[in-house]
Amino acid sequence: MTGSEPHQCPSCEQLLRPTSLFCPRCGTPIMPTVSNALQLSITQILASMKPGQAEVMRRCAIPRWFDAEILAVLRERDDGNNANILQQVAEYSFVRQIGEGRYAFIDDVRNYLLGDWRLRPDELRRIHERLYTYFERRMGSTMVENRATWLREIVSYDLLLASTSSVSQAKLADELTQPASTDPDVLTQAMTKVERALLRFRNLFDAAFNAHRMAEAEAILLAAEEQSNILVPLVRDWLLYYRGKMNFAMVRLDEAIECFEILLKRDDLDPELYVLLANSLGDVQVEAGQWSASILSYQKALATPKIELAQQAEAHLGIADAYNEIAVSAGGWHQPQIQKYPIARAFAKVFQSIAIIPMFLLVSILRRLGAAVPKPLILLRYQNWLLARIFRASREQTMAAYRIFRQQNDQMNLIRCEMRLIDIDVLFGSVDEAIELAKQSLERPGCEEPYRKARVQVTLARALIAKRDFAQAIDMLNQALTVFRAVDDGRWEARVLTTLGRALQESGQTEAALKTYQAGLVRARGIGSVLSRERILYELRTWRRSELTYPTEISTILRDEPTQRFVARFPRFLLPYLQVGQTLLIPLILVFAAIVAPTVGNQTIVQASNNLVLPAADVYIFPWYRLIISPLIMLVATGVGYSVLGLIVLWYMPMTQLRNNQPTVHTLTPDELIHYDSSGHESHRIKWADVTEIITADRRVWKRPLMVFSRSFVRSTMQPLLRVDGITGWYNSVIYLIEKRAREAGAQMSYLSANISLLRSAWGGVIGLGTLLLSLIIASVNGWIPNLAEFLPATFYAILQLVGFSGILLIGPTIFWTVIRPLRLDNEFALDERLPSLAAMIGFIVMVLFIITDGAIVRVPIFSVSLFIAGVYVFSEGIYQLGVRRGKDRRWRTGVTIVGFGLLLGAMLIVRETVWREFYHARSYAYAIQGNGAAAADDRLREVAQTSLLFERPMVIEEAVLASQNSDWEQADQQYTAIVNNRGYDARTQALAYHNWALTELARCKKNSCSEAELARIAQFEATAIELIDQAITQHNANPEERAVLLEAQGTAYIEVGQIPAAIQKLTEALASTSEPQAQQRIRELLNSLQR
Amino acid sequence: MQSIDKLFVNREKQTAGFIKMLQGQTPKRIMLIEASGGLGKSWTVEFMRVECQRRGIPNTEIDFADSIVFDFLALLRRARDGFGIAAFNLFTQAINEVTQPTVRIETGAANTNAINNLLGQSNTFSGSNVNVGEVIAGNVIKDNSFVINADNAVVRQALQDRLSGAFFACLASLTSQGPLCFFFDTYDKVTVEAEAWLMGHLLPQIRDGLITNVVVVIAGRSVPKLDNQWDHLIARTGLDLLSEPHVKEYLVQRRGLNDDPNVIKALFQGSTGQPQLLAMLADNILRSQASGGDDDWL
Ligand SMILES: Nc1ncnc2c1ncn2[C@@H]1O[C@H](COP(=O)(O)OP(=O)(O)O)[C@@H](O)[C@H]1O
Ligand SMILES: [Mg+2]
Repeated sequence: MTGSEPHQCPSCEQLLRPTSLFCPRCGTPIMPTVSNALQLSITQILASMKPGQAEVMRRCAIPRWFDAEILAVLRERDDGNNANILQQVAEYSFVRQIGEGRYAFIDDVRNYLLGDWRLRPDELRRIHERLYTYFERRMGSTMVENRATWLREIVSYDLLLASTSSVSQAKLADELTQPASTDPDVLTQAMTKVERALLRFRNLFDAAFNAHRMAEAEAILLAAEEQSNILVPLVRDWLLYYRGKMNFAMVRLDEAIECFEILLKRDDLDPELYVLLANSLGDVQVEAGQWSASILSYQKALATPKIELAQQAEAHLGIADAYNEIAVSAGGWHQPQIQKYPIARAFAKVFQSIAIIPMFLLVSILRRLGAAVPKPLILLRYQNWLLARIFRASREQTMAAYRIFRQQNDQMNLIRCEMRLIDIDVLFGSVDEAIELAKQSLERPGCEEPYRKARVQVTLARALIAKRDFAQAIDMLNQALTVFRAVDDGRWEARVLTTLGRALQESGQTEAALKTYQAGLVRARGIGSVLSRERILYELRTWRRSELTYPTEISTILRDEPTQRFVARFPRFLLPYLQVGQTLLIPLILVFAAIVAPTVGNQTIVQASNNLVLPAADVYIFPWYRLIISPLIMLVATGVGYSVLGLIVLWYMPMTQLRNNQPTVHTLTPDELIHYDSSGHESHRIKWADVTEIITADRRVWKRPLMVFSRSFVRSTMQPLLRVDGITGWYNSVIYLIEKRAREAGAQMSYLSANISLLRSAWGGVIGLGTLLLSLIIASVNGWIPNLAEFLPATFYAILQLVGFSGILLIGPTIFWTVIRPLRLDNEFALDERLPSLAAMIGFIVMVLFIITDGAIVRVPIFSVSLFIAGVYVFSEGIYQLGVRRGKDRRWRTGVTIVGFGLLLGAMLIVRETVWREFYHARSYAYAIQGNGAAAADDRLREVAQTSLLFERPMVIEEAVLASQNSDWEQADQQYTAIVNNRGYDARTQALAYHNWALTELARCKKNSCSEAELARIAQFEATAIELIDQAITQHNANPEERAVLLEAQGTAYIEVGQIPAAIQKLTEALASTSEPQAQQRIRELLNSLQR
Repeated sequence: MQSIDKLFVNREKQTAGFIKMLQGQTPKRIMLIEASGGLGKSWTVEFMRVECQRRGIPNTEIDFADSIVFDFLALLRRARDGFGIAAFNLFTQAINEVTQPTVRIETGAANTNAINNLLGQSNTFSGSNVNVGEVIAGNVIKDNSFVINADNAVVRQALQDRLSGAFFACLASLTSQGPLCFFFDTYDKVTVEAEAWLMGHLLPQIRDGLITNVVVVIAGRSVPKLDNQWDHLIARTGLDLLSEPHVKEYLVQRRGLNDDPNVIKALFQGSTGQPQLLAMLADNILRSQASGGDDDWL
């Protein structure tokens, strides 16, 4: 109430009546405030009147307005004086005329007098009752059109009366000494009165509200609210609820949400009201784009036990709407850029057809089982998973609502549900089902109304387009278009134009399609509908992306559309998972190929200078079938894993987390760049002219940024750094437009590019070189091209082979891109905290794995070495970065730096000998290929001489031969014994052992004379060797070359024991077996010398 | 109701500005009077209206303090009645067309013609063929006084847009004959629908030059918030407390009190020059001087 607040005397602080002019205690004159003075005046005026006059004046304050008839009611007499009295009342300056013959006190006066009336509640109540009956009578006798006016009065008096009676009854109950008998009855009676009045009010309000007579509804509400402070709390709650609804209807969303939230905080709310409230709040929040919050509100409604079925269905449908908006706001399915070059296109197609197999199988089974899953081609792209998940959620909720509505046979709502279901079916590629459903919808009783029918037709047309039945779709859309134009429904008109454009586009009518889209854009802009505009922009963008020859106007339209919105395709919190997954994918495939593909080539035998025979250096060869199959297997395995993952996301990804992490949105308006964060709140609003710097940190393979690994930043005055993730839909367009608009607005900008184009950088060159080298060496060892070892100097070849097989040219850049660069960049921009720990962990696992398995995970030792080093490096880089992040703690920082470097140094030391060993091995191979047996054998022996802690190679024979060479008789003896006694070694190894052993013994005897028995044992050894070699040839299924080498060794053995004819026989067999000119030459010479 | 003709004092600044607007001597077309209660907004508006009447300028006043429910239709009807119903036949006709008991789009196998007929394409009422409704007298069409009933918000919106279109068409032909004036009073109690029409139709049309020769006066404890792109069109004003000479003029010349400087001074101080209060203090004094010969009312 205006001006009736108590105030204090300025000198003695005595509390004063609002109207006093002097302080009753100290006599200080009080300057009246305007409203005090007003109250004083009215009091004086009334005091100067005759008591009856004053009383009538007071009573006139009770109704909102009065005329002669109401004056009669107030005076309780209809004596013909009313008109006259009314005229006198109207003469006062505080009475204003509000209509023909209708008057009211000015608000301040009326409120003041009403305040007085509250001290006389019983009299007030009697007058209220009289007014109530009067209005009831008056309504009964007036024309229909005015009924609402009177009803409004009646209802508000009804509420007042019910409230006051219930209050007075409650007071009465308090005062009574024995409340037991009568109270409950009286009280419930009062309550039912309130409820009845409330019901009456609600019916009246709802009637106006549902007929969209908003002003009338508002007037009804205002009338009821007017004296809300004397209403019972229950009624007040309801009024606040309706106030919220009113605000919502008038699109005052914030005010509406505020009303509802005040109520929701109350815990003693009428359960019926609670359900209505939660549902309405959800509706407002959907409209306001607070989808996450809206879902929570609907769920609150659903959790209420008292919820009615229809309300339950509404809540489900509300949740479905919210999910749908979340999904639709992202545009639609991800559209990959069409490849420019035919080869790339073909390659992409092949890759896609292989990768799709597992997804295809899984999805087909699921679809057959009746599950709602999008087509495999859609699910193949992870960018769509989230969207599919949300659509699924939306569909589930729609189905829940659908079941209820079906049970209640609520045709209108059934159609609503069906439209949503059809849309989702079309999106999911279940076109036939969609068409079926649409036909069913069109036949429902409520559907003949043209407006509703038109909407269903648009939905059906979408399905028809998917079915490629363009003619019928276009026809249907044109029909719908006329209806929407007639009722001037801009939103649906824009929607029809979008769909129509699509139909025209797909049926090849480019020109018309473009025109239609443009018309749609104009319409959408006209009604300010964001969703309609974005839908069309989405269609245009996918058009541009999916066809090589799109109309050039598209780019112009897309460039010039004043306001555009870009939504991230993935919530940011899920991004690191994608990054890690994508980063690991290619290295994993490569490593798997490296594990599976190589196999050891057949070993031959080389003869050292002192006739000792030892296996030649082997080399890993890569049979073509393995080269193809292993990545393929990996691809399929990844495909299976990927599909399963996708389906898990589709079925089980918790929506709660998603709800709290809406995808972020960037809106580009003609003046500003606005960013909404993951909770849907505006976090940036940058005037174009305020942009100071654009930083891009894109990672591209060639030219196109990799979505998951790219991002840009916009710096501006007054606002924090704004980040634009590469995962944002149409990322390139966003950046282009931001740059363009800022420039056009005259911003003083600098640019910083931290881009890397993987393949076009120096590192990319390294990778190319590595790939080339590896392919050359593989081709060469596989014999697809002439063996490189034949032409190149052995040392050079050895280095090449080591570099090629170690894969450092591939691993290095990969580590740079996936670990070093992101970690350092992220350090700069303070990004994800978990990355360094993750890197450190992966590095650590690799390291430990290689240590405990002694590098046996991959076959090629030098590759094991480089992987191990890579692991150690990644680990130390990770902990170094962790150290950097700890920031100021210096000791920790130096500590991790030292540990990191120490580790790396240690690892280098550990592998040093292995690297040398592998070098000799490779060189020995080259010598052997070049026919330089002696040098080959020497390198073999050098290889053996390298002791190494890790990455062992089994080289027992070689070790024994080394001992023989060094004339370490005892050691040699022990090792040969060990070999021949171990059944685990194959016949060939044992044969070589016996043969070499014999030669060793012979050499020993030559040096220090030997006993007869010892010489006999030597002969025995050679005999065993011969026997074993025969065995080996049959067992081994050896190829002719190897057989030749073995036969040659056998021959040599016969020579040693003096059985020349046998030697000649073996050597002749060897000569027949080999086709190598050098070997033939050698054997022939040997034979010649024997025959001589 | 006290007579404004006899009692009005001061407010020269506002009325002068208003007259300049009427005569087109200023580019301003919208006057916003924002002042707290009892300062004389309604009286100022009323005074301007009288001025219009004197000059024969069609005008209409909408006071949101009225207990009438100012929905869209009521608002337009009130405006029409203020300007003179004769000029608004096309509008009335449109009302009669759309305010059938309930407007629903009729069934028909995609017979969009039917819809067009029902809703009326804009060209239906751009012609002068008057054939719907009843003719009261001469060329004036009777308003059937129905309300808009639509079972769909969009349809309702469409109908409203159509009515508004018809209204402005009539208004345009009226303004070609001379200026006219809208008065909105007690804007702090504006209904949502009325506000939507005002802010969505009337004012933008004036701003965009679609209707000319129209002056709008809006008074209230609060007035529409319009951003600076309206500045060239808007005259903003408040209302001052009355000065002592004006108080004296009011009390002595208008209310007929004795010219006793002490009394005048006391009343000036007591009322601080606030017109409402001043008027009530005068009431009070005049009452106490009166013989009390009135009969008692109860
Ligand atoms: N210019 C004026 N001259 C004389 N009396 C005035 C004047 N303005 C206001 N009054 C007095 O003040 C009272 C309140 O004025 P009103 O216009 O209703 O105020 P508002 O509309 O600002 O609330 C009127 O009833 C009238 O008695
Ligand atoms: Mg007023």
